[in-house]
Amino acid sequence: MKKISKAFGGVIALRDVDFRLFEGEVVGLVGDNGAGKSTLIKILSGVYIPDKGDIYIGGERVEFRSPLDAWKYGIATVYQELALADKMNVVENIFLGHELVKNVLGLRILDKRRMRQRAGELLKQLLIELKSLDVPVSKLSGGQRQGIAICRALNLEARVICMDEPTASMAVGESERILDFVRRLREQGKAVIFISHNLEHVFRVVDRLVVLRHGRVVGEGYVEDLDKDTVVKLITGVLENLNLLGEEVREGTTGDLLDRNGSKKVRR
Amino acid sequence: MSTSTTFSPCEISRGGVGDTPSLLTMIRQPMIRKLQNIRPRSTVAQKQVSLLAVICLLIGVFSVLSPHFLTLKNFQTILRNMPELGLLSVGMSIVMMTGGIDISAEAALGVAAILVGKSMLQGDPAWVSALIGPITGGILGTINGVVVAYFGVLPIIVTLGAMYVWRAVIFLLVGARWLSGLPRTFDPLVKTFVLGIPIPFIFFLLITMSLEFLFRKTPFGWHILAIGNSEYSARLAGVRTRRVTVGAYALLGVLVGIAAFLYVGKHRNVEMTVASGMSLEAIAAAVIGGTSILGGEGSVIGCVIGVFFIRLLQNGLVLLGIPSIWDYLVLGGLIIAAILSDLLYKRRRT
Repeated sequence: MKKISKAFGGVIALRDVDFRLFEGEVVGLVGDNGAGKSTLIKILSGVYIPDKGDIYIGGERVEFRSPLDAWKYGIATVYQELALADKMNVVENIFLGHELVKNVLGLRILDKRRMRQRAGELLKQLLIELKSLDVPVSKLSGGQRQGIAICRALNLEARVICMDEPTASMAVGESERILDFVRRLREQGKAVIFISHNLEHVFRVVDRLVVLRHGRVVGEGYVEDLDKDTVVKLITGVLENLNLLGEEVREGTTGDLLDRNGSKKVRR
Repeated sequence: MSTSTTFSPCEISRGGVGDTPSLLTMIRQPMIRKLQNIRPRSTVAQKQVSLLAVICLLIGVFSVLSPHFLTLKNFQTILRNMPELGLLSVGMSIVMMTGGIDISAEAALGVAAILVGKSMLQGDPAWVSALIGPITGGILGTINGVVVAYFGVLPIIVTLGAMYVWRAVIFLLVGARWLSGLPRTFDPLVKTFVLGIPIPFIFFLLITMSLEFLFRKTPFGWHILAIGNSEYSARLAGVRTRRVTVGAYALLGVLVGIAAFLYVGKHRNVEMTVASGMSLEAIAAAVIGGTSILGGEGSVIGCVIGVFFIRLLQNGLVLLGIPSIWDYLVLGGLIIAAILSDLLYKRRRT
C-alpha cells in the first residue's frame, strides 16, 4: 500500500501511509486509539475506498470497491467489531456471504450438511468448543464469538489475513490458541496483519512491527531490533520517529507481496 | 440450558438430607429438561404455535355466536378473500426481514390494477394483460428498493412518499372515475374451485411455498436475514447488501402485481381507492405470522396463518353484525398488540 490517505469529514485518519506485507510474515500494527490502524485494515479489505494512494499486490495495481473484491484477491479480515449476525446461528455466520452451494436443476441450493461439517472442522482447528452449532451467536461468550469471526476468515483460504484485535475479548487459554494459530498460518506461508493493544501478544507472535500515530507511520522495525519500551515511546509520541529497516528495503519493495528475503523482489 | 440444583427451603427442612439431592428434585429435573425440549426452538415457531391456538379459540367463539360461521361456504369466502392480501404479506415479510417496510405496496397494487384493467378494456391478449401486473409491480418495487439501498433513505420515509406518488399516478391514469365493465377473460381462472378450494388460493399457496423454499434453501434467505440483523456486518461478511435489498423490494413489487391481476380478474372493476389500507393489513399479517418488525427474523409461511387470522376475524365480525368501522379499530389494535408483544418478548429474553 503506497501513500494511502483517508479523511472522514474534517478528520484525517491516514496521511501518506506506506505499508508492505510479505508472504509468510506476521506484521504487528500498533498504535493508540484513533491512530488509524482499523482504517488502514478496512482500506486493505475493501470496506473503505482511500482518498489517495494505491494498493499493489505482487506489483499489480488493484482497486477494491467492496469486501468481496478484496476477498477475490485473497484478503480475508477479522474485524474488530466481528461483523456477526447476532440472531443467526454459528454455521450461518461462518459461511455468510460465501455459502457452499450445490447445483440442483440450475438453482443454487445451500449445502447445509457440508457447511456443518466444515464448520465443525474449522472450530476444531481453533480448539473452540461449542455445545451446539444451532445457537444464535448472541448467546455465545465474547471469546467464542471472536473464534467464529476468525473461522469465517480462515474458511476463505486467503493469502493475507488481517486480524483486528483478535484476542481482545478472549480468556488466557483462548488467546494462547489464537497466537499458536497465527504462527501456524505463517508456517503455511500466509501473510498476517496482527493488530493488538496487547504488546505482550504482539511481541510473541509478530516478525515485524509498524507503529502508527495520528495517521502516520512513526516507527518500523523487525521485532528482534525493538523492545517494548521503545514501542510504547513511539506510540505515545515520546520518541518522534524510528525506522530500523534501512532505506534500501523501504525503496525497493513498496507495495509488493513478496518473499521476505526479497528473492522475488520486483523493482519499481 | 442448565437446570439449577438449588433446593427450595421447604425441601431442606423436610428432608434434612444435607448435600444429597432429595427425591423430589431428582424426579423434577428430568421433567424440566423434557419440557424444555418440547418447547419449539425458535422464537418464530413459538409465536406461530400460540397464533394457531388463538385461531382455534376464535373459531370456537364465532361458531357459538353465529350459526352461519362454521359452514363450508363461509370458509370458502374466507379463502377467496385471502390471496391478494396474502401475496402482499409474503412480500412484505421478506422486506421486513431486511429491516425495511413498504407502505406504498397498496398504492402500487392500485397502479398495477389500473394498467391491467386498461389493457383488458383495450382488448389485449389475455397473457399481455396478465403480465402487465407483475411487470408494473416489479418496476415500482425496484424504484423503492434503489432509493432505500443506494441513497440510504429510511424505508418508511421512501415508501410513504412513494405511496402518495403512486396514488397520484392512479388519479392521472383514470381521473376521478372507475374502470368498470371489464371482460370476463379471467373468470375460469379466478372463479373456479378445485375440490372446493378456490384456484387463486391454490395459486397463492404454491407461490408462498416456492418462496419459502427460496428463503430456506438458497443463499438469498441468509442474506436477507443478515441484512436485517446488521446491514454493515452483512456487507463486511461479503454480502452484496444493496443488490439483495433491491431484490427484496422488487420481489414484493412482483407479488403486488400478481395480486393486482387477481383482484382485477375477480372484481372486474377498479376504483380509485382500490386496496387502501391493505399495506397495513399486510404488515399486521406478517408480524402476527412471526416476522419481527425490527428485522432479522421471520417466516414466509407464517404469513399464511397471519392472513387467515385477519380474514377470519373480519369475517366473524361481519357475521356478528358489528359495523365495519370496528374492523379498523380491531385491526389497528391488533397491529399494536402484535408489535408490542414482539418487543416485550425480546426485552424479557435479553
